[in-house]
Amino acid sequence: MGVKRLTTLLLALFSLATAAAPPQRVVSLNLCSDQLLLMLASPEQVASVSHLAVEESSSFVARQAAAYPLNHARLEEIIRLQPDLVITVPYTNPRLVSSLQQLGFETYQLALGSQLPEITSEIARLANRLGQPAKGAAIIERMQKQIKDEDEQTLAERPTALLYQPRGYTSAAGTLQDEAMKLAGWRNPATEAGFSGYTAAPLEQVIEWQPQLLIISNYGEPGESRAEQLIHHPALKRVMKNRPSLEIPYKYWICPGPMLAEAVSLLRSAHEEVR
Amino acid sequence: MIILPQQRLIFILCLLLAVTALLSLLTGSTSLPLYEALQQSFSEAEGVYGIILTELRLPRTLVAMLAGASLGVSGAVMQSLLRNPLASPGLVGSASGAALGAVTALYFGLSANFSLALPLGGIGGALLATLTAYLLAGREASPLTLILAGVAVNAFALALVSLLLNLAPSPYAVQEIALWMLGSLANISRNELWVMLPGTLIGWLLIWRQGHDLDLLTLGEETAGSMGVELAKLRWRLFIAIGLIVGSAISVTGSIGFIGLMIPHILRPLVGYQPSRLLIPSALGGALLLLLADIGVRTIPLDTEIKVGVITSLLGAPFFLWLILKQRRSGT
Repeated sequence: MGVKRLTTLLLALFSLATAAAPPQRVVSLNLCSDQLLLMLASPEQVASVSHLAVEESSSFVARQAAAYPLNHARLEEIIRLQPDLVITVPYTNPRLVSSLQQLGFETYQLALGSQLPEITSEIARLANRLGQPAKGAAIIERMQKQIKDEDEQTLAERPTALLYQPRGYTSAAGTLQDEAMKLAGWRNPATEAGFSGYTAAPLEQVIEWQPQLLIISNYGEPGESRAEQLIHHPALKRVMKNRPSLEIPYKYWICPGPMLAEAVSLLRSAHEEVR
Repeated sequence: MIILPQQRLIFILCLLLAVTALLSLLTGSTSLPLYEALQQSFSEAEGVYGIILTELRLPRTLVAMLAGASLGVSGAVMQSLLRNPLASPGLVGSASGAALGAVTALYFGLSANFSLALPLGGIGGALLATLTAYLLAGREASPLTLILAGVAVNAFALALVSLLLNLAPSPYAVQEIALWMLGSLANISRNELWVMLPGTLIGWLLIWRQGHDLDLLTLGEETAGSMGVELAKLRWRLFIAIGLIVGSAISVTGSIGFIGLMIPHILRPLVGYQPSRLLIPSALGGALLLLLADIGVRTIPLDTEIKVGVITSLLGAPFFLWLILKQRRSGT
């Protein structure tokens, strides 16, 4: 019995030691984890990224990603890669995650928060886990410097901007897009009207809000989706006739990360157009 | 000269429709000061309320009326043409065929280069599916055989829609197809109205004045033939008409079910079981039902607007069950 207990103890100690050591074969299963991994890890630490990481239109790190084997988040693929760490996100198929864990693979889940403090602490946490704390700190510093609020406008003076997506979807409270607008000194009428998350905004209300800036963000190639035509609804066109619109590439704010600062810069530069 | 069937019923339905249409113009997620909105609509100055009234609510109301009328009348025509109480665009597969045609046109780029691709896809799909079900079931099919053929056509069309969903090129497209399959009148603009209008009008013209032949058809195909009804010609004409009106409606609104089944059954006793007298009331009744359902959708206080197709199916499915029970009882 004593021996058994000792073995358990030793095993526990051993696994503690491996958990602390920086992983050498990291596999990422989702676009959001791909991007943070490629920014934070050293190139030889990365074993594979998801197939979405190489899409120019949605991935901020498409060029770097091209150097790695791509995966489609399938169990067999991942096993063949023999990773020592698999990075998942809350949307990863739970059955896949539990299978991986049962097979003894270590997993690490990102939280994908949408507020700036959550994003920076996520970067720091992942940087530590990858054994790259200095790289993480540098990225966070650069991001915060870029985002730093310059205007000292009070809330009431701020102009309104609405993200309007195909089929009338908008991003309200608790989304990355809402956070970027806030950081860039815009008010989001959808959030003020009590909407939250990624949600449908009735066209009638959008027209009543009369946002001073209409933000459009396209994911993927400009496809043939009927949704994408909605932005050309004659009613919306008439209301926004003399008002500016701004297109922000989705890759800047589809996932939390330092690229959000790019979206904030773009949004900030649009202030001149409404003044 | 067509004999106007039961002027009083038509008058009442028209009156109800007018009131409902007015109500539809007043219903929406923002409260509309009517006087101001009308003033803005008729003046040069651009105003928010004017835009909401003329660019959003008016096209939505008109499309609801046109689509509802088409679905209602196509149910009445199919039930008398096939002499089958369960025939309707939804059950025979015309609606899923139209959906398949429209989805194909939408997501594989045809509608971008050619704006009529959408209604033409819908029309072609509806026609193809209706004919397939009809040929599968055979000419003198029992209600059950026709329904079975419809089930098969429906399943095949929906499987192909799922395949397109599977292969959709953009993530929006996936969400789109899924939502579109529920059927909705939200965010419809003038453009959609123009897109559906030609096919709908041509289809209605083809049905116009066929009531007499449909009446004769109630006596049986042979008798009708001996009384001068050119059956093959009539069938083709009406199938093409149904393809045109159902395809045009569905390609704009998405799948909206059961109107074609319910409305003729509700109105038939009121017109004395005479097909020719049923056509116009069915069109008016269909328009009324879809408009009411769409007003309901806009009134239910939920964060996410319920799709109007969901409402009509929720009403229609129990009605369908009741029809089956009625059939069974009269059969035994």
